Amino acid sequence: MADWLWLIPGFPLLGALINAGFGQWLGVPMVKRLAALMPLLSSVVILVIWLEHATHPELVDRVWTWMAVGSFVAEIGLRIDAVSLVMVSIAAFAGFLIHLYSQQFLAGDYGERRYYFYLNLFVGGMLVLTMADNLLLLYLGWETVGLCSYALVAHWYRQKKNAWAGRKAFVVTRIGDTTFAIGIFLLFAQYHTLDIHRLLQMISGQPVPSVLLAASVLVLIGALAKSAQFPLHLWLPDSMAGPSTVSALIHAATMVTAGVYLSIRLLPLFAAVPGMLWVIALLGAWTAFFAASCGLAQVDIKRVLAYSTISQLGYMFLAVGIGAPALGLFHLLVHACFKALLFMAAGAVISIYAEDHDIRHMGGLKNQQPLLRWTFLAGISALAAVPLISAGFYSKDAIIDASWLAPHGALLYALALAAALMTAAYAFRLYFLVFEGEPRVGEPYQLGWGMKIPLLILAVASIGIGWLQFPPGWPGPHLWLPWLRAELGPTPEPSGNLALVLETVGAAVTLVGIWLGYLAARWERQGRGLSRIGFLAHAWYVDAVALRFLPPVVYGGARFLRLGVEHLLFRSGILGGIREGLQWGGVGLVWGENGLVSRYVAFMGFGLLLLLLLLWGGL
Amino acid sequence: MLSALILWPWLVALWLAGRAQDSHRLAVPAALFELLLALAVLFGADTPDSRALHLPLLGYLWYLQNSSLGATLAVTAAALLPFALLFAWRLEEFRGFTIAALVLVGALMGTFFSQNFLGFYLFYEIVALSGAWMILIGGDRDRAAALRFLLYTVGGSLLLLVAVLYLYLRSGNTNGIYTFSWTHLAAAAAPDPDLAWWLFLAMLAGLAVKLPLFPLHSWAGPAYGRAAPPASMLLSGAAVLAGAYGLIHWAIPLLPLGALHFAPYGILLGAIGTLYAAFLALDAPNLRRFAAWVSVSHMNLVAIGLFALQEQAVHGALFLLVAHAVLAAGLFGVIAILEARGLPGHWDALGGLFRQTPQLGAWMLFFFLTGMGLPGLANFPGEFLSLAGAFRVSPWPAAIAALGILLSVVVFLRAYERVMLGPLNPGIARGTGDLAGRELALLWALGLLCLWLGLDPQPLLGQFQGLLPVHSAVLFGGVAHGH
Repeated sequence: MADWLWLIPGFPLLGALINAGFGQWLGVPMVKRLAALMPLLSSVVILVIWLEHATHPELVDRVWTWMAVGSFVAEIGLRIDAVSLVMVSIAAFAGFLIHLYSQQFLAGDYGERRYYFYLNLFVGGMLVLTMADNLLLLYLGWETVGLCSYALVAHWYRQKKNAWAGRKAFVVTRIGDTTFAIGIFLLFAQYHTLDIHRLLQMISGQPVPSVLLAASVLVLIGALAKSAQFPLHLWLPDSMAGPSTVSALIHAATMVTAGVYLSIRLLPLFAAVPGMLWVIALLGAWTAFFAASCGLAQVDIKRVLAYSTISQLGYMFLAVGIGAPALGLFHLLVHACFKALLFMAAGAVISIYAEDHDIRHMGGLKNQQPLLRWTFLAGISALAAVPLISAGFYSKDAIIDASWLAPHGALLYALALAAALMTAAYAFRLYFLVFEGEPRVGEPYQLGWGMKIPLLILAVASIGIGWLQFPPGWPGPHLWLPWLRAELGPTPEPSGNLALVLETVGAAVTLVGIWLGYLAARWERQGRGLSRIGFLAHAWYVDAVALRFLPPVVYGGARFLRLGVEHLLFRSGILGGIREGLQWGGVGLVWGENGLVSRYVAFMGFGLLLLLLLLWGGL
Repeated sequence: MLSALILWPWLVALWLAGRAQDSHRLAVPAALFELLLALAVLFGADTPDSRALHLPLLGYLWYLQNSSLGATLAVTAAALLPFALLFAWRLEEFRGFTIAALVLVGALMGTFFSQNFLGFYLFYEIVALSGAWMILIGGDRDRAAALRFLLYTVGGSLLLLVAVLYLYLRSGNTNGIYTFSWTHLAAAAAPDPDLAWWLFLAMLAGLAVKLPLFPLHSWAGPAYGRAAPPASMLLSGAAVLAGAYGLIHWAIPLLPLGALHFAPYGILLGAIGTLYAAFLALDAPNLRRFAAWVSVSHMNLVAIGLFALQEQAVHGALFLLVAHAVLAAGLFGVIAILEARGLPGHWDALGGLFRQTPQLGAWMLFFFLTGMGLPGLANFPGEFLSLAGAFRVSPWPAAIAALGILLSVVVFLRAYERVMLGPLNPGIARGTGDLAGRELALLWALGLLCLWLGLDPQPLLGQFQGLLPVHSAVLFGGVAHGH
């Protein structure tokens, strides 16, 4: 037992509460600092866990009983193990860095208090999500972060399209939330418990009931929607309407990884259904491929990053699907560092260019903003997985190589490798367009220390954190996989010559991709770039088709039910019929004249009398 | 004590009817005293049964008995009253509204404690009458809406009366004791299944119309939509309690076979109603209609929970009843606040209001989120338990209802966007003020209630475990159902 675990989500939640209740009196400067302090305090608690329990973390804190009816019990229960320790570290520490960065980045914006309220609430919700020991509490965190995502995407609510983008994000993810909820209902109906550990124990070693297939598919859809996987990725590019810091925290480092986390956590559930894991792997590989191809043709700096997030999340699902969740978690960690960095830096770039997101209007920023350039380059290198020096190489290529060993591995490997090629290309296309080439001077913009420190920390992490786990057979540290082995089991890794070949191919593909990225940037400058390919620029038209058909069906259906069914059938039809009938039946005599009450009394009295007589006679 | 719960509001109403001045001064203290009485009843004050008006062949007409379910609902209704009065504060016809509200709440208390069916029936009719009356005070004074409300409730309750009359005569004919008391009626031998089915349907017509269960819902849109918001608050938050209580206290125990037989259909109707009303809310022409259909949607979810006849589901349904009362206060309260600022609630007249009234905007979002069933807020435990329980009984209809989770997010966020977000509607006066102190205090009180119910629902859920043994036997396994 560790009855202080609640402090971890407790601090940010307290911050949100103080902000909501007393923020008006405290004033914005105070609210800002308090908001940033809260995730820092959570990080300190987490640091204590790292120092004291790092080798085999296993901490439980039952805070109170949420609901208990009959055999059903749901606790507010928190649990830390190795996987959730990684997740809470990311949520709290990245959360803190982004709070810090926001201090200057959003200074003077309208709705600052509101921003910090939701940011605190978000971190709290994310911590609850990752620490929950039962599915219901996890669902609470899941919905809380969804709400915060909505509110923060729609932060600049005075433009209609931002509010719409926020709603779109919430609605599309709630498709998944709904199936997730139904999955929870099914699991509860079958196993009578929602405690994750007990649930997984009951599932493993039992014959698989058919309901498990349904439940696992439904839960998986929830995870896919939250992590913006094809075809439920539609909400993520639009959610870039929020501030860049929000994209960094919610739509890169934490919330979107919740789906990956859930599938790692519930891996035995998916593993129990034959073929399920392979489907997950295929969906992941396909999404990685699909989104990378879209990223090639985007001209909005944040949309490039948004598609890259979708694509990188695809790699994480691929890792889970091929039975290497430890690698998926590794890539999740690395991705959180470099993508948060890229989004924050992109925010600064956008500020420099006066809120213009179009990378074709940018260029040559490297001399004007050297620090921004070097940190951005570190992030881009990690995204592209530049061999040896970037963290992405150690995490992403490990997944690609391991996918070769899976059943039908060639297909998965080919998709993942093609995606890697395109990733390197669009990443460096972005870098070259923004930072190299002919300088296009933007507005003078001075990064304060509050912005520099987070960028520097994350840049160092984007380079160095990969060294936790060297490829198999290489001399050097192999810390990550052994640490997670007890919890997540052994990880498939290619060995010998095969490993060497795969690693070389991966590295070569990245280098080719960088060269292609350089070319793509040049073409783009000459006005004949990839952005002219409508099919890619519009993301294969998936979104356009969905928007064309789905909302009209829902709204049209609603209108039909109101005008066609409710008005015509229920009001005019049935009610008119009753009235007619009453009038013809003679009751209309009493009906027509008097006031409301007397009508009623007469009506009731007459009816009563009639009924009493009838009944008395009848029995 | 129990009689005081009914008579106190009626007396105050009578007093107010005779005097023109004091209503603002008296109304809220009187309502708070009523709440105090209800709380005392709930928390173990000595409440002997109260019997009066013994009539030959009918039993004690005034026969009140305390039960934990009745007392919980009584506290809910009594708690809603001061909120409704305070939100109606600026209503021109405040005195008339107060009188109607007091009569309604007093009668509701009667329905919760009555052990004699005729007593229950009379109180139930007074609730309907004062409800119809309330629709005509303030708001649009739509006589057609009030009449429709009356037609449905009275038409339905006549069927209810017929069914119970039959049971009464039957039990009287067999053992010679003619009385409408609950114990006698429940103890009588069950009618054969076919008859029980029809009798149950008849009772249902009277009770489910109050919820209203699909397809008896058609009065609700106009009634809640045309009445003044505080009136809708009482109708959709408190008056529905009588219908649900009637189902669980009268219809199901008196006709367990009928209930069992009907249960699958009830779940299905509830599921259809949940979605149907949500769709109507999506296409609502104004804010009041929107709130009206949202409320109907939630009540159909309650019906699912009740008809699942399953432990978790019934707990969830009852919990949702209470939570929904708080939500109704919040939703209609926010609408009342908007109307007090001269904003009538048509979508075209709204938009971008957040800029002018950020506090109101924040609270509106809070109650909308409660309505969407966000975990941690009041509705979630009820919705979750109802659906989770229903899933164990009949998964498919429950799955249909669960789609409401998805639809509700569209419904609420679209409405929120139309009112609060986007560019400021040029029709809105620049000086539209944010929340005043009284309004803010009311919303905070409701908000804290929402959080409390959402985060620590256990104390309230525990109340429902104290259902009468007969209820429990019938509901939780006395009749084996599915599992």
